[in-house]
Amino acid sequence: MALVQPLSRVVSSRVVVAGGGIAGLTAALDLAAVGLPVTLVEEGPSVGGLMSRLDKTFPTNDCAMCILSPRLLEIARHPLIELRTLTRIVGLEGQPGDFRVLLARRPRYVDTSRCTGCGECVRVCPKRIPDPFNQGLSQTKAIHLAFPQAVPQAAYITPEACRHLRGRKETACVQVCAAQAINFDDRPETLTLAAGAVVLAPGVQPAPAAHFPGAWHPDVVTSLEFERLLSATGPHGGVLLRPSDRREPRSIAFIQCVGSRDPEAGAAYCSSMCCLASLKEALVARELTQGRVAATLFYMDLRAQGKEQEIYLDAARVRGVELVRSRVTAVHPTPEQGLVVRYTDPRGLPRERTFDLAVLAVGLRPGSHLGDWAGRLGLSLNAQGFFQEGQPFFPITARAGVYVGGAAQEPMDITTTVAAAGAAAQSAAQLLAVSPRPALARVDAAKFVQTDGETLKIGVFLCHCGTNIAHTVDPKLLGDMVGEMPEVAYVEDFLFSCSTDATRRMASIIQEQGLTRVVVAACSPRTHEPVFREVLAAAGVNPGYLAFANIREQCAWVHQDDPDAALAKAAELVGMAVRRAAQLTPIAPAYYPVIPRALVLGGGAAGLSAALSLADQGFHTYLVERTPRLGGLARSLRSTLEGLDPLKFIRDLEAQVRRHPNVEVLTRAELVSLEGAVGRFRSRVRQLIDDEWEERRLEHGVVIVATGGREMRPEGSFLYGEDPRVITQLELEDKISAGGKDLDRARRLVMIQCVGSRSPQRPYCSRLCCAEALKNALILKNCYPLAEVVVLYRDIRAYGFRELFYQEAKERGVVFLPYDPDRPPQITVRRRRPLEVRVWDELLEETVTLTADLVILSAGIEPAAGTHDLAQLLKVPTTTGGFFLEAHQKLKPVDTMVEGIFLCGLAHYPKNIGEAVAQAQAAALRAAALLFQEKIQQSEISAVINRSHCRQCLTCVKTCPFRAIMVGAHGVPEIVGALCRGCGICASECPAGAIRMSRFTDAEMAAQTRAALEHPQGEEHGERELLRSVR
Amino acid sequence: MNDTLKIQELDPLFKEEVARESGCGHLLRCFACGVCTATCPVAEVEPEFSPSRIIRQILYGMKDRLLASPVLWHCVRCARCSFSCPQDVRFLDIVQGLRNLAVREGFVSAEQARRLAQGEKALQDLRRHFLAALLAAPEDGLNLKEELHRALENLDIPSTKED
Repeated sequence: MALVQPLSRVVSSRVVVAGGGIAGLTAALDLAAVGLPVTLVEEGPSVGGLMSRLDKTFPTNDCAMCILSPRLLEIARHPLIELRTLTRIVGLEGQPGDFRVLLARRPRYVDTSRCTGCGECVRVCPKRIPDPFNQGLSQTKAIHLAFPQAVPQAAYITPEACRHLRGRKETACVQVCAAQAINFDDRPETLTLAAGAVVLAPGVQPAPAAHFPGAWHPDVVTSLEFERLLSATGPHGGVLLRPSDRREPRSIAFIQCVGSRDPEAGAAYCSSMCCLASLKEALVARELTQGRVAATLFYMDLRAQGKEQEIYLDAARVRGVELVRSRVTAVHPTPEQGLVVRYTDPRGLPRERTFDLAVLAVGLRPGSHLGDWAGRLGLSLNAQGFFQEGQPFFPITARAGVYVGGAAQEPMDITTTVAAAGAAAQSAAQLLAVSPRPALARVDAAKFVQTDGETLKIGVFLCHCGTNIAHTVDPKLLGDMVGEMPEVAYVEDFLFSCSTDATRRMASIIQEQGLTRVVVAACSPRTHEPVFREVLAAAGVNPGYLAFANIREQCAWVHQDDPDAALAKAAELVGMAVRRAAQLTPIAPAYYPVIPRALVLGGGAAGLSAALSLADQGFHTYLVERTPRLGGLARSLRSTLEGLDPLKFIRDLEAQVRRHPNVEVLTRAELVSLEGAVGRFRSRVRQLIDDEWEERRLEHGVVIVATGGREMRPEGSFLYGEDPRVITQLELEDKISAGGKDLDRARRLVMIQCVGSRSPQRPYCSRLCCAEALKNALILKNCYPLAEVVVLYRDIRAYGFRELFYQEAKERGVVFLPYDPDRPPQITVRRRRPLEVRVWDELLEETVTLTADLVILSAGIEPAAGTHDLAQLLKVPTTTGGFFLEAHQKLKPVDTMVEGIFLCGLAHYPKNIGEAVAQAQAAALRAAALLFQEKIQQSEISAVINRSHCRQCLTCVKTCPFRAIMVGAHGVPEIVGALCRGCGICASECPAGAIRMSRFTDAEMAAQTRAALEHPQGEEHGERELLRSVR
Repeated sequence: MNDTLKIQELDPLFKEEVARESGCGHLLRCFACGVCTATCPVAEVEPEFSPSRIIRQILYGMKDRLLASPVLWHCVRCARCSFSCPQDVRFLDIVQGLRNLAVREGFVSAEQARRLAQGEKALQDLRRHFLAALLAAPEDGLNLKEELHRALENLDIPSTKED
């Protein structure tokens, strides 16, 4: 049984989430969003985990802290989340639904409810210690904030370092603390919490690197240390310098697999994320030095198996990152030349190169306390020291009511972690489905106070975004320029305006200065507008009075090489936003009721899991499947590498879904149209019944897209379709299970990887095929021990624990030979003789001819037929390969750009059953969060028709893509508020100019445009004059 | 080189044969990372001697070519490859296994093997003498060539010729 059975009786609906990294944060927020109270327990002084120490994240190169900090803030202020830092779980008693969780807290010596995070104590503290946040590359004090955006925003005293706690009478911190927050009498304590379920997200730690030859040298750093060297909050303030002499390095070697794929060092598995992390670090280093630093990456197999990662790899290559396929196991520091690295070239000859800096891409190890936890909670660990799950990759542990999510299951990247954490949270929510949700009825009307709109007092807050903006645009100069603008009453700049202390400070400035309009000049409103709207609300100003100027993406990042012009542009962008601010109107949102039903498209492993997850939480769910039977692609698998029986799994799942009173299964059915918006979708679905299409109209609040994928038919490549001896991996599985005679006779089998994947036509890795090839090779070796199996590959992408199966396959005698994509294998047919596969061997510099009784192609995965049309119908964009695009590749892997439409399974990207089911559970929980709400806020931007100007031409009715405009009484068009998404098409098409938008009004846009056309400078002067004359 | 290596003309069981030699049981663990070659002091001066290539040749079953190849005897048995291998493949033992096979299968005669062992020992003696001379050298240095000659003269090398 893969999913969770809801309890019939729940004593406590609280969920204890252990671990404050990205997995724990995600689980806590997702659980709180469905109305369950959460206690988030973190061992350190702040939440944030490993992700908070990263500089940027692949494949979007987003600043890690920038995308993380909104979540940190949300945790800090969510009414249902109780945060307990410096605390860990030490015991668990009772039953699911009625647990008593024993917690032990270490003293912080600072009262978090009083501390404002002002930093005065840090300034006066006499005791310097290496800063753990910067991996000891810089210094901090015995009392310090974990990092600028730390949550809780409170200082912490390191007891081992504090002079007072070690018996001296010094109390400098106590003297300066105006909040009287320091409490040296704080003592360790234990407490017991009642809880219904526990989610474990203890995460991972970087593998130790001290044993690596050469690691002692200051210029040989670990990847995490290098992230800090790159970071704006790092030891060198975002300027790339090598630690030994603080000079800019001219060359960097990235050394992969340090502490991974190394049974001798205790970790035979692959850490899954280091290849991409190093590529990212190489790209960022080159960007930071304007291409001056040369970056070379030494790797064994470049594992870019995630979404958009292959494109990222190609881009890195194009942007000058040198890739060398050779493992490096030592760095030899020399006084004269720098760091010597020895490697092997493609011809098998030893080479030597010197570098200024070496970065050891350290792998991931299970947290040091995992064994302790397992013992105390009655769980077991696998041979690698990670949590042993009930089923491969499912969040269920050996103990009922305890779920695990994230990298403590298996090393994984952040995207996978977020989905895995969602799955663990969903499991807990499903278990506690009968819990009441009183907290969700709240609609925070207080946020939308109508403030005095008459007086205009505009304040401007400028953000450094660490160095993201400040590196190019000098904040002081910009502040001076903005301060001179006549409309501006107040200016201030912040290192990170989204940090807790900055937002708090902003709110008090707004109140003290009596500001009525606020301009934030920072990053993108797409990610950060909600954060600053909260600030306005907190200060008692209507959130509608916020104007945003994006001086990061639209200025600092794109004009890195021209700081003077960037400064001028930034000033103009801020000026435009200031003018717009003067024209802003308050927001007074409307609400509409939610239809608590869900539509799930696709009845494969993902769709079935999503439907069951929603149904168990009490939501009526329509499951629409195109084909006559449920099960999808999983039905064509005979086994999985991890030992799961896919058929049994699917049959169990199907049986549960079929008999569930909340699920309505429609097979041979497909979506015809979708109207409406989040909370109130209306769709038409047609179903083939007795050879006749019958149409049904459904109403539902959410849509989950789980339409899946399929193995590509590699027609035309490698004689597929021309010679029956050339088959695909799935066809091989059929043959194996049928016990085909041709297999009995086969002496030599050749597998070819990456058929159709990683090509210019399909520039993505299909993620599954390497594991599929390993699985089938192992089965063949079991059933036909005498058969020779050769696998021709480009990179074996056996990420995570799959590496162990790669090892096993090799030891069982499967031969793996790399091929060069520029000289792909050639197959020739000979009459009544085995096939001949010719492949160029670069190491031996020879063409090798293999004979093959069967050639098995590892054909790539593509989205299911009809995905393109469905995307148009749903208005959800697709991306590389035609897979659906998620809202954010790192942190929102199951949301789409369209609110209320969620994504899971192979429709998102190729993934194995376990990953697909996890993602489906995560999507179901996100969807449930909407369905649990009784009312949803209408889009705050909507069209407004001025009746007196309307000529009733009905152009608007025809052009509205959301059918939000109806012809009302007397033939006058009317906007249906709940359906209008504020796209603005009607307003721009209306020939009479009778339609305006409630935000981005003509007045706002005109003021902004006028501001842009003032103060012409330099060469643009002429163009602007011309523009003006046209006007 | 453009000749085609035809795998059906090679010995598919060769890799198992090598793996059965003493200490060679980890042969199939190799994932071709190249560390053995990168750390090999012989490969540095003798491009024909490449541990990576030798392992690939074993996997292909290039028995005759390998066992007859003089490069097998170039290894100085420093064991750096074995120390740095993340998969514990123990290339040092594999070279020894190949040498044993070469003798057993008649690619190298027992007599030749004995002479090679003698030569190896003589080289070690020479190295010892030469290094001792270098260490004892006066401050202003010495004539390396002369020292080498002297070391050679001091060496007791039995002739491999039976006269």
